[in-house]
Amino acid sequence: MARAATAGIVAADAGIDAMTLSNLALWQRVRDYVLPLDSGNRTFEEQLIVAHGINRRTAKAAILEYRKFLYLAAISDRRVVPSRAVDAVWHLHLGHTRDYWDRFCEQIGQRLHHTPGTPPGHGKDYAATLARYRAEFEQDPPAHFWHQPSGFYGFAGLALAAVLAAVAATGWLGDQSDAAFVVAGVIALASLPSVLRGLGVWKTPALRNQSAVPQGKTLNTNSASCGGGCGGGCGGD
Amino acid sequence: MTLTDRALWARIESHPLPADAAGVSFEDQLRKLHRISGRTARAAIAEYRRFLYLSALKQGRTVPTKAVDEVWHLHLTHTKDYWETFVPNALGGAAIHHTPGSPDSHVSDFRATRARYEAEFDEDPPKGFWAIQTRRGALLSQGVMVAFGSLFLWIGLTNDAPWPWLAIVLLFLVLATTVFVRSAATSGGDGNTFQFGIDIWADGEGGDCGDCGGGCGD
Repeated sequence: MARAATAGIVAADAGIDAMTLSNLALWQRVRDYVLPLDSGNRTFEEQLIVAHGINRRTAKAAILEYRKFLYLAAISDRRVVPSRAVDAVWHLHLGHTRDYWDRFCEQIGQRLHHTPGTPPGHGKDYAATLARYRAEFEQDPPAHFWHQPSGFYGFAGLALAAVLAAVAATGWLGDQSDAAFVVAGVIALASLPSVLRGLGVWKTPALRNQSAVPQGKTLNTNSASCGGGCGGGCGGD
Repeated sequence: MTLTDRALWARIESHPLPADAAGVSFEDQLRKLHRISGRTARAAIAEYRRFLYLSALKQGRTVPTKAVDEVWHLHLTHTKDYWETFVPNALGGAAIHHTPGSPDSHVSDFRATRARYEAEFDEDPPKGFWAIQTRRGALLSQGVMVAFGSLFLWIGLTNDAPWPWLAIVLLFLVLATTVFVRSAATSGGDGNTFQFGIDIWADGEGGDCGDCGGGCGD
């Protein structure tokens, strides 16, 4: 009882309810771990800011999500998949090889491996990672860092455009056929960016600035599709 | 080649670089990641192996070029291969660590790396991957840009050119001058340059050390 009460206070500053964490001590170690300076004495946060051209607020938030991911990877027996944003932070940390392997991994007592590539089952593993995130931290993963474009709206738009064009081609619309073709064309064009992002052909930067006002939008399981672009990094196996 | 440690080089040269979890070869991963040709990817991987060898000699801090550092980063993300196969088998357990950042000795370390390259492999490092872009060189090329822009502007003005043409030349001049001024104002000595859109994989201009992609082996 006393232990749980203390734990609640300690975990509160990260907005996390200690009661749901399956390994509180481990989370505290990961949360409080001091990430490495570079040899020019820049802090980890500054390195991330410079490498990705993002602001400090975004960098801080991204690093917190990375810590949560590390924790999930450490408690999981199965493969865990980061989002592209989290993977970008992981890559920066992996570049500090001494710190990562000789300090960090020693402190958490595990060697967390990173394996690039998207094998079959990648999307399922990503969904499982998000589910574990919710279970452990009792919150939805912030969409800004965890949403992977699935191209759903893009494909839906393309389908709509195709139907509209087909209807126009039958001539049922009479004089309006030409206008319907134009509308179908516009919808198809507007859908294209979403489709390209969903297919992973067009890669937006892994880390983008958050808007100044914290987004109310959180991730819902159905819209979070990993697609082929999960940064390719996967831990815990 | 006058290699100090032939056996070490043989082990590094023959280490098979890892395929990813979907079975994509290392070369193809590099090719896709950076949108380069297979030829460029193979050349970059060959230079990466040479860099690994120079680092494994443990003769002091080595500094890769940006292109070589990119190959290194890709390899480092294959943590199982790097730490559990490559380091124990090819390096005999003496790990080559990667440390981001540019300390004061960065440029001199880069020059030392190049000198070691020449001594070990008996040839100049290929310009494409290993060139040193000096501050003076960058200023010179940007000065030439400004001069040419001014010349065209002058010709245009004295020949009553139409305004879109003038606007384009003016825009170019403003950009070129900005880059020139920023380069000239950059603190830091030789090798610390600022240049627009440098292609780290290109044969002609690439390989600039600059901030060296930040990675250094020792």
